[in-house]
Amino acid sequence: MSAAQDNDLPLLTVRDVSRYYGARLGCRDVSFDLWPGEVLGIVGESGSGKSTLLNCLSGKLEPSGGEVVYQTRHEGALDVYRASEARRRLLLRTDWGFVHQNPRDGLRMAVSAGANVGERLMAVGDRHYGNIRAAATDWLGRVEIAADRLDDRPTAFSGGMQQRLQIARVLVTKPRLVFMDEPTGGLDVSVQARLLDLLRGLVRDLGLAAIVVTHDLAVVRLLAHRLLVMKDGEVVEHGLTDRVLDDPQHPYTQLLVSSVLPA
Amino acid sequence: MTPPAFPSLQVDGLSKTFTLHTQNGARLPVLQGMRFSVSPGECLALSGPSGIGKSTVLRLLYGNYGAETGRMILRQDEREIDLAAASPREILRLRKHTIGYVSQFLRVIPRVPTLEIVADTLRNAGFAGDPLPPSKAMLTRLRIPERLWNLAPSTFSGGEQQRVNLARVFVHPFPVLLLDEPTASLDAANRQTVIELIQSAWARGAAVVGIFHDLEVRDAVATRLLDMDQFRAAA
Amino acid sequence: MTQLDEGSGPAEVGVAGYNFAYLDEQTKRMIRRTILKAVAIPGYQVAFGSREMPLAYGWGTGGMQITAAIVGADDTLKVIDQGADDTTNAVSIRRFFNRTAGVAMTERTVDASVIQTRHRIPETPLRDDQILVYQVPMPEPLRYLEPRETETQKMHALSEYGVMHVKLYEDIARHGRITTSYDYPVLVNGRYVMAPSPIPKFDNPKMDRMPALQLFGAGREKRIYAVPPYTPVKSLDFEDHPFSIDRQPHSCGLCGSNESFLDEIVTDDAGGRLYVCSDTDYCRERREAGDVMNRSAAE
Repeated sequence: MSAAQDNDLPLLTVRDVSRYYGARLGCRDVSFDLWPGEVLGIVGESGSGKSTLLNCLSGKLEPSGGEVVYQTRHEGALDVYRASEARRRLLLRTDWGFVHQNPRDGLRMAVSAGANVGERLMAVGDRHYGNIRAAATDWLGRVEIAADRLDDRPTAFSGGMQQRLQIARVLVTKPRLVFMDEPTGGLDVSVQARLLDLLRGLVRDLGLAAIVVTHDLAVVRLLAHRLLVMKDGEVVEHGLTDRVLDDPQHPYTQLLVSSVLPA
Repeated sequence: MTPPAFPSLQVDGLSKTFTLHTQNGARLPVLQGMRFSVSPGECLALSGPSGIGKSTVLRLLYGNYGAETGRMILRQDEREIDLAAASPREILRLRKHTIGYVSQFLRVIPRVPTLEIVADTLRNAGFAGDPLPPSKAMLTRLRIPERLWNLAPSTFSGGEQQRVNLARVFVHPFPVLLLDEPTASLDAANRQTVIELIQSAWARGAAVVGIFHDLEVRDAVATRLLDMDQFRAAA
Repeated sequence: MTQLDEGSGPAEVGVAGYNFAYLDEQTKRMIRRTILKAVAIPGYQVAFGSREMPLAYGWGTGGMQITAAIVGADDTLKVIDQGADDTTNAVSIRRFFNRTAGVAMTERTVDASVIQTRHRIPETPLRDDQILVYQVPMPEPLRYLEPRETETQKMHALSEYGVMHVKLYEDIARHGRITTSYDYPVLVNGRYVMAPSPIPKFDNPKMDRMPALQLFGAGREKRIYAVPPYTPVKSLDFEDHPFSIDRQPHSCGLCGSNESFLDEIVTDDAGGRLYVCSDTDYCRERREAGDVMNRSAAE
């Protein structure tokens, strides 16, 4: 069993990814593998390069060097930045998903919740209104939004509901890999807990792999299997989440962990 | 399970020092050159005064702490895994199927009901069938009232939380069990139940490593004692 | 009626100092090149150097520039606005070309070689020796959901058109059916999604495999696009909510047609209404052909 698992191919292989903005460093020489069903947390303070890295990993920002290789469902390995833009964008709206910190960046605020969830289905060619609507209803339920809000616009939703709607919109095409940028940022603590619990359940039930960028260590403790700690554009520590948090080795990680105020 | 010729767990040369970079790089040596082995069907009790590193050993074995030096060989199905060098992925897989750890404090996700916490252990271990009946049976055995099953344990009393913690580990027959004061804050009846659970665990062949401050419990469950004093690191 | 009164033909050609059809020849060549490209890529919006016209943006400057670039001395021009030859916009554009080009003018669809239109396609089927020039206020069909020009261009380039159905989905979710009734988006030649300009969706089927060349000009937005003759033009829809046109439950109060697109005219203060063809030429031709129905048919 374990032998078979070891022979599995990683879903995402990241090698020496660097990104410079002119002479200024965004991130440097980041390498890791991500396996199906695995959640990787990336932590670090503002300016540590974690958002740059996330954008490089998710096909949005071409790295200055290195490669990001994704194992597709049927077509073998795909070098994300050597693929055509059309292929990359198709990946982004089908097999991948991106959850933004601010739901307004990930939602269409001027159309209904149902249309928001249905859009990715329509984008991959679904042309049956009834089916699209049924899928949207199902997904609202799974993110704990009442079915009677289907035709309401997200502007009428609370921040937590908007974030859950964004998650439904991303997951409706059954992606295998989801990128999340501070998914609980800007939410009340009680709302955060509910969202985290929901995310955790979805990740497990759907076997999703996820890369979650956050500065909130509680978020990664609950969600992530593994952790990358970033400082000044580089990964300073990498390992099992609870080990990095409970037995941090790098001075910066120790500082980060010890800076958390006890609840 | 027949006793195999090889130990389930063999620890050799294990050392651990904490370096506190936030406190001018102060070094806190905890363990040095520790060695022991545990066979299937054995319950090894770590003994020694508090602060000597007993919990650290369990955390090292569980992968929660990283070993500084040494090897921790887990033999399973004719395969050897060095826990000190295992990849995070390997550790996670072992935690699902092989190594159960009862910590001193229950650390769970807010909002997840007690019954689900217990059933998740079985789901993660790939339990064939409905995980709820055995989960309910274990909660019943540990005297968690049924009215609490659908509540999250964050508001439970210390004793109740500890029993949930025990239930979610003992619900699955882990081949390796790490127990950190499993009977602290339990009443006599529950303490007796836990003693029975531990006894039946090693009786079925599990390798158990534990810390038992309660001497009555220790005498009841331990097959061997390991005095930690010999591995005390020179400060 | 067919003879127009704004001028009397080529004798008065050329307001002093202006070139034939107002635009200079270099500009016309630029626009013709744009048109050729647009014809070569059906439904694709080609940018062009839109000129200032002696008319405000929004009054048909895009259509006028196309017409000015393609019209020749032997052409016969028809200009309609909402189907009518005698509304302000049509009258002023016709007068403009009459003064600057002096070409023959007609109100008869069948007699025209170039028809410039705002918001309608004539009821009379067009032929392959005719050109239909549309005035377009907003050429970008994706604009409703995507404000960024760089992004819409990319979406066209990669055929990422799922978002078009979001708008139709919203219609059905809110009203139980697709209520978009004009400027209804179409897919041209199976490739580019195109805004057909604010024609009623009633006219959409006429665009499909139309024998005449269809040219679209957006002056303010500086875009020209085209549908070559006989090109497939499909209105977007859902499998379970197929595209359909709404037939009005009336017939024309003047000519009795129950096939044409009707305008509703309030006739008195007591709620009296008259429905008449929006295509004035079509209506008149029918009446002149003796196919006149009783006027009292009007409700």
